Amino acid sequence: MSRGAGDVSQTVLWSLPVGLGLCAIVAVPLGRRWGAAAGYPLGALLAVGAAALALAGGRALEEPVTFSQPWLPQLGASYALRLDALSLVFGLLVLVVGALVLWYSPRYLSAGGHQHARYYAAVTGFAAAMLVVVLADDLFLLYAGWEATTVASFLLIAHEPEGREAARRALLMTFGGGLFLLAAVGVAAATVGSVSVETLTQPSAWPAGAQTFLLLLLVAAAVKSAQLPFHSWLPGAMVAPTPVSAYLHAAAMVKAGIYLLARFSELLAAHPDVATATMLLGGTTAVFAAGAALRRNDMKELLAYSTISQLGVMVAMIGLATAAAVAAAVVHAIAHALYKSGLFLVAGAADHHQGTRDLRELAGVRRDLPLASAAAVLCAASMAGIPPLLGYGSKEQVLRASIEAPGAAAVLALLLVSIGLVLTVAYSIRVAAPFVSRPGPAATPGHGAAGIGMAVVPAVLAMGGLGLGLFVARLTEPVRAATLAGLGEPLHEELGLWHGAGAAFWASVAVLAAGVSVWTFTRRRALLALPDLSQRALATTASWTVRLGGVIDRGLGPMSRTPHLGALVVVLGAVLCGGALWAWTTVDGPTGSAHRWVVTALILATALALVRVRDRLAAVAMLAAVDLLVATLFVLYGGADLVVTQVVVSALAMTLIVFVFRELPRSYAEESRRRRVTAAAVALVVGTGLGATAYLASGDVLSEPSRHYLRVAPAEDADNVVNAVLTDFRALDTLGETVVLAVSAIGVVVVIRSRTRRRT
Amino acid sequence: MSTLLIRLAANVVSPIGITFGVYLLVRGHHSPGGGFVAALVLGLVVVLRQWAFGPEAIRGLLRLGVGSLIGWGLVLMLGTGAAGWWWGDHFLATHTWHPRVPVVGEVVVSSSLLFETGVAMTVVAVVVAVIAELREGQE
Repeated sequence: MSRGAGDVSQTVLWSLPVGLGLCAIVAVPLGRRWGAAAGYPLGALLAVGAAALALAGGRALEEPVTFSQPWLPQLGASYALRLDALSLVFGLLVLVVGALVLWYSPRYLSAGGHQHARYYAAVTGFAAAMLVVVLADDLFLLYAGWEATTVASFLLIAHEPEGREAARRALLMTFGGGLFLLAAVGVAAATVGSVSVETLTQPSAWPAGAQTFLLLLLVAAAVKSAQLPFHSWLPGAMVAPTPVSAYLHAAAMVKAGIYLLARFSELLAAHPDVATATMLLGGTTAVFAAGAALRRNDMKELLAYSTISQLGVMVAMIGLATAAAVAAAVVHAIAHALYKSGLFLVAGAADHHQGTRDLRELAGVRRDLPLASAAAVLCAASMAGIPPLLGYGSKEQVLRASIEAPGAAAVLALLLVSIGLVLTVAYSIRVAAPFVSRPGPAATPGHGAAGIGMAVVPAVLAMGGLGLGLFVARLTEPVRAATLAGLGEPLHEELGLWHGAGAAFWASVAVLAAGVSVWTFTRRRALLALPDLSQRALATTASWTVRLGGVIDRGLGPMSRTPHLGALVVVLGAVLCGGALWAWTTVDGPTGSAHRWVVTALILATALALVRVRDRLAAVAMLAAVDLLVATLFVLYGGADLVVTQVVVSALAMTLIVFVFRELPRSYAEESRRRRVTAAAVALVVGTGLGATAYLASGDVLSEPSRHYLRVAPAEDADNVVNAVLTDFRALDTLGETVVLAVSAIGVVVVIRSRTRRRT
Repeated sequence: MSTLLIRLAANVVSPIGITFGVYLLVRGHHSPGGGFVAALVLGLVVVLRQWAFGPEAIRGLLRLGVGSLIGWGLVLMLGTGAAGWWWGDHFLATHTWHPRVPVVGEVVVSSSLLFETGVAMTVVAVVVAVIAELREGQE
């Protein structure tokens, strides 16, 4: 029954991310009890999830499955999920590769001392977060999943002690990129008034054009998918354990940017200028990263730059924004996930066996790791685009899309992508070479730390690439539906290995031939590869930043806090003064009764005395007196809650001040005349500004929100409006403030404790 | 700092202060008070006791786990927010009960009391932790 099947699909839809999140929590005790072997059951859970998604997704190819639960109706945010062909493809990629990586992990981790619980929790948590990203129909939810993947990546890169620096850098960069995504959400909410992904992907929702939104999305995707110039975090992230590199930094997390761009490709197609920029970004990244990959000796680094280059090809294809091009990007994403993770996992096995990842020293590993070497060669062949592997099918689709697309931009795309593909062939041969050659005369025997167990998963991935390549025509239906979901236009042709000896076929042959010749050329003259612009650019930027920091540091002068704080405070005071002067004519102040004026005069007198007094404890006592007089003023205004709060806070503040004053001498030191005059001037400016603002703000006329709350509060059975506002109407603000309070308390404790530790 | 007078005062004021703090918490919705003020009053009681009896008074509290209340308070607030989906339609929705208590009659209890208890727990723990740390640093 269709309704029954729909309910099942919907249940699968919302339970998958939730279930995976629970798995992440369960992974902690599981990892503690079973150690490295916890990977097997967790991988099995992910595999079950993949199966469930595939079964539910069969329906989603024709009609998307949706689920929505309102979360903050005032902001329009809801826990909304949507499963269509595009989400299905990426979701299956995440879950299948995740299961395989989790099955590989026990063999890899047990060869060294690792913290298994945290590792498994982070990997499973990442899978859950990535699933949220591809299934989300609400931009807030997508952003939450996006940043959750950043956090998971940070935890996994920092798994090894030497990874802390790289992890911090990656965190800063990807979090910065995430802020661009948040800005895009803000733009969407402000311009269109909705944060539903389904609505926002339609060009009709953006009558005034969506350039800003798309550019913000482009930057966020570029950072996440390591495009130029935001690519430097990915090679640094290679210090992470190899399964992490295979899963996060090859197959899943970096694909989040590709997914985002593919999801909004219909909107992108409607804005040709942004689309061309996207295409250029992807194309240049593809070329430069491939050139950088060619010069690398460390296998993982080479694969990292290769990933950047392949992602560039995908971004360029989405930038072309035709149905064939978007389809090419999707197929390429699948092929890349399979062969790249396979190669990374073999790199891990070789590393365990030989103790090195240097390609020059890996020759002959074929003798001890036959299965792994065969898998590596197959994956590398898929990367180079040799038929009948899936990499060939995707490469041919890429070339065909570039040739058939109209316009001058497409010619440029074809050129850039072709150069990138030529270099890809070259470094693919470079990667595969050690796994084919016989051991040299000076070869050292391996440690034998890698058994057949570590080779199974890469072999499965390689076979997957072969199988999907042979039956690539079967992929047409899902890819067509995915293109329709993303671009709004289905793929018109069939995917296949043989389309006749057309332009694309000869282009593939030419690319292959050129790649082989580039490889033989660079083998003899290693220095003639493309210059490593990316590394040089990063080094120059770093030195310029240091120089700029030095300038600012010298300009700010000595370590004293006063100039910095003082400038801020004076500016604040001046702004308040100006605002008060402007508002003086338009806003009425409070009506003063005699009592209020008396109390105000008392406050003034006490404050003046406080400024003149020389003894610290006397100053504290007078400060407390001022506080109590202000509380009296509140009593005269009738603000009972304020009175209690003021008295209690004053008592606590005095306690803290006395704590500090116990360490200081009994009297205040003599101050120079110049300092006294400056301090008096600053105090006058700020005090006048604040005082005038308070005077104008405490007029006898209530503001509109206050009147609204006074009206609505009795309906909630609340007699104390202040309290009702804090805990009922604006409870979310209170929650946020309490969190801030908790965090600052932790900070205070840490600072004090570190100070005492340094003293002793 | 510790004299007979202040020790006596602390012993007399502590129960009054604690009762007052709890009263402010429970009656916050209907009369001046609320979770934050209640927590500050309780914090003041702790401050008074450590002036009178030294840092031992606070160390005992921390051993009991008052420091972890920072986290538990936040958990309670988030839990109340999540419960909003159950008895309302959005996060942090409130609900009022009207149970009949035998002698008193009908009593109005709002779910924001749970929220405020969470706030109070966190703020009390914050005050205790900071004061304790300052006191330890001075010993």
